[in-house]
Amino acid sequence: MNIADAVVFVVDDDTLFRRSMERLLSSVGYPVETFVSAWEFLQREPPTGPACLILDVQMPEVNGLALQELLAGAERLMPIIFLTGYGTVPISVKALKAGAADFLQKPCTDQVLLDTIDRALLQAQQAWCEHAKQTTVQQYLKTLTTREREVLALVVTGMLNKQVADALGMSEKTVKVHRGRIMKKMHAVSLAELVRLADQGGITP
Amino acid sequence: MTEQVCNPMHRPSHRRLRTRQRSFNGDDAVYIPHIISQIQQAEAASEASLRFESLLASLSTTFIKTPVPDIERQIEVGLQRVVEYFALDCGVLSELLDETTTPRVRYWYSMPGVAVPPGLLSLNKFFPWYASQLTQGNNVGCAHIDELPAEAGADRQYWLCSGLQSFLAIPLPVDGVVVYVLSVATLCSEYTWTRELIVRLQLIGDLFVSALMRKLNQEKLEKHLLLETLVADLSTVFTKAPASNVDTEIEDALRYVAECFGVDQNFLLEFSADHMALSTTYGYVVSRDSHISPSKICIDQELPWFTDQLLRGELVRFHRLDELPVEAALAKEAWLKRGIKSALIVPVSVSNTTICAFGVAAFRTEIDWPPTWILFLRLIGEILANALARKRAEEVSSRLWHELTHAARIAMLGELTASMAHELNQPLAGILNNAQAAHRLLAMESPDLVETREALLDSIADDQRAGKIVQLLRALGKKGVVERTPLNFNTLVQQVIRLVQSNMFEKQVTLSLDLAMDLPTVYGDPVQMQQVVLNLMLNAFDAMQHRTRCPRVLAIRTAHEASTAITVSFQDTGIGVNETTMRNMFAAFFTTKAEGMGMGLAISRTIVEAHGGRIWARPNADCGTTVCFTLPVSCEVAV
Repeated sequence: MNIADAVVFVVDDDTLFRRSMERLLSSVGYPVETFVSAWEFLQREPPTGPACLILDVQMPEVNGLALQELLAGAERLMPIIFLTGYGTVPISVKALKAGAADFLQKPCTDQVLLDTIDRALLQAQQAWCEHAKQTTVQQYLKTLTTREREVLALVVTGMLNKQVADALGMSEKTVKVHRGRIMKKMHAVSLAELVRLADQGGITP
Repeated sequence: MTEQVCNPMHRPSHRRLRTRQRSFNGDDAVYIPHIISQIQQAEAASEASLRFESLLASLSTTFIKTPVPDIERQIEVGLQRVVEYFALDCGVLSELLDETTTPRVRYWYSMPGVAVPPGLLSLNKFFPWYASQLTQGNNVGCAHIDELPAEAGADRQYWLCSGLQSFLAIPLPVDGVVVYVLSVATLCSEYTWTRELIVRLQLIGDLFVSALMRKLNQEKLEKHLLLETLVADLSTVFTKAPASNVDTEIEDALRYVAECFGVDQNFLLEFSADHMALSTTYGYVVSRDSHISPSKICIDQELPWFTDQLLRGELVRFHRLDELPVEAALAKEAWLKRGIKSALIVPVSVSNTTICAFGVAAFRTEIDWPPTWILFLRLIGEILANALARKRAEEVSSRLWHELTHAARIAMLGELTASMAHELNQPLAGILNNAQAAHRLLAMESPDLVETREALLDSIADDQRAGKIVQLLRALGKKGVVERTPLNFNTLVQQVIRLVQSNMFEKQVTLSLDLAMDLPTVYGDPVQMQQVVLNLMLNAFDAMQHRTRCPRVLAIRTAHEASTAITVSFQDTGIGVNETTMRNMFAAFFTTKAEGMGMGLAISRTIVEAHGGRIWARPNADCGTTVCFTLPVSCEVAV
């Protein structure tokens, strides 16, 4: 299963191994980018779509685990698959705890490798979808006025219009008008959807 | 001379002189012609006496002046003069080795055309009467063979056959034992052996014997000196000989010993572990007789009597095999089979334990072993046994050291498991990736053959990489013999780095390499040298393990000074060592690590020093330690 435009990054200090990975993944049809060190990888622009990172553990200067730390927060959009020549239990536990998608031992068959990559990319795609949705909600939220935000915050808690009016010191009719505008600006068709969108946008009861 | 005049053997002529004086003092001078004739006879006798005395004086002066090596020749010249002086046909001086065997003819002279008759030469069973007379110290002689007494019947028969007319044999005792016999004979005419003549011949015989005695004593003294020098020489040689040379030194010593003692063979026998048998560890056989093979000296069978005798600290000594007791039948048979005629074997003890035996033997002649030789053989045996014991001890210690070095290497490899697995899995993963990629590429409708070819070439490169690592690991793991091959330390250092690379990443150590251009080749054992480099690198990693503030850097440098030596240094930025550690770090069992055995640096030092180098450590100006070693650049150890 290929995900359109999904990029596979390979960071490994071993030239021959990098070349072999590039060759294998290209033969399957993945766009591949390889890097000799963590520094080289960090100099690249962050990806704008689904991607995954195949990372060696033992590397000079910044090793795989250190790079994982530096990339913390981004791994949902770019899952990290560790691929090591000699993995110990403590290292793999540390990597997985820090959010690695998988921890593979060299050499591994293309089936295992490609399945893992596919899984990681699927995960990345879903993350990107989520990410995209979140971005939309944020954009909608930005169009709300301060008063509308205040109203929204109380509406999602399940308050009735009357209660909201009392709480904000406004008439029930004004609350109704605000609610109608909020529904329109947030592209929500029901209260339930509005609650969900507010939740995605970080407005929680 | 005056003494000899008083000799009872001169008595007849004295008596005659006295008789003449009495008749001269007598009243009647009637028998003047008779008196004149008596005077003439006396004058003739006196003249003969004078002539003989001048011969004796001349011979005796000659012998006094003759140096020892010329004595034998002078005796032969003397025999010639005697034969000529007394108008005889031949003269023989023989030596009685013992009463039952043929006397050894030492010197003889016979007139031209005259063969020495066997009767004068042999004292064997054909001449029983003659032999018994001589050994009893009696003169034997006759003007004609027929005059021999009846009891000499058997002897007579043989003398008749030999063509002898007259003969005289005079036994010449030394310290009361008849050792030499002077015999003279005529073949064509009869000869009357007057008492005077006998006495004169006896005098000459004594002269010969005293010259021979001087020679023998001198030789004995020289032999003693020679043997003393031999012992002194050997003890000097073996004190200085390194254990590795002991084998050749013992072989040389055995040849030297055989020459000095004048024996046909000598050997060092060692007891088996159960003390049941003896085997020849070292032996020497004179090679003048090509038919004698060295295997003759091997006593490879169990000879209980022989072994017991030596274990009890008793020596085994026989002049002839017959002298051996009945219980030594087995040994006797073994020696007889090997053609040994005489042997002297002494037990040798080192620290009160009989560990071996040293012996000399003869197969060409029988030798009556002089008692002084026992002491010399014991001394030499002890020198050889001590050297041998030293060699054995050093062999054991060298083997143990070799094993320890190997164990340390294996322990070090154990530390590198992660690194080695990484170094092997890396190329294996590359090969698998490339193979799978190639497989996929070929399965395509229009396969990219260029890429497929690249994949295969990369696989080959990866395979070779893996092969080299396996080779290095095998070499480090094997317990092979130490070899000396030309080594380039730049290559060697890089090989070892390959092995510890992952370890280094894991420990977050940065490597800084400064390898000298044109580094001269040194000769050494590659595995041992890799062991040293590996040990120093791992030590540096350990030293830097607890450093968190300053960067962990290991700087490895190779350098050479004036093409005579190379230096390899390992500079770390570790915690450094205190003065006590600096002083003791190369000693065995000294360690500052919780799990350390304290053998790593001690082994490294032994290896470096065995290669003629030196290893030391010094603190760095800022932090950490530098460990350096030098190795000489030389071709002389090249194999």
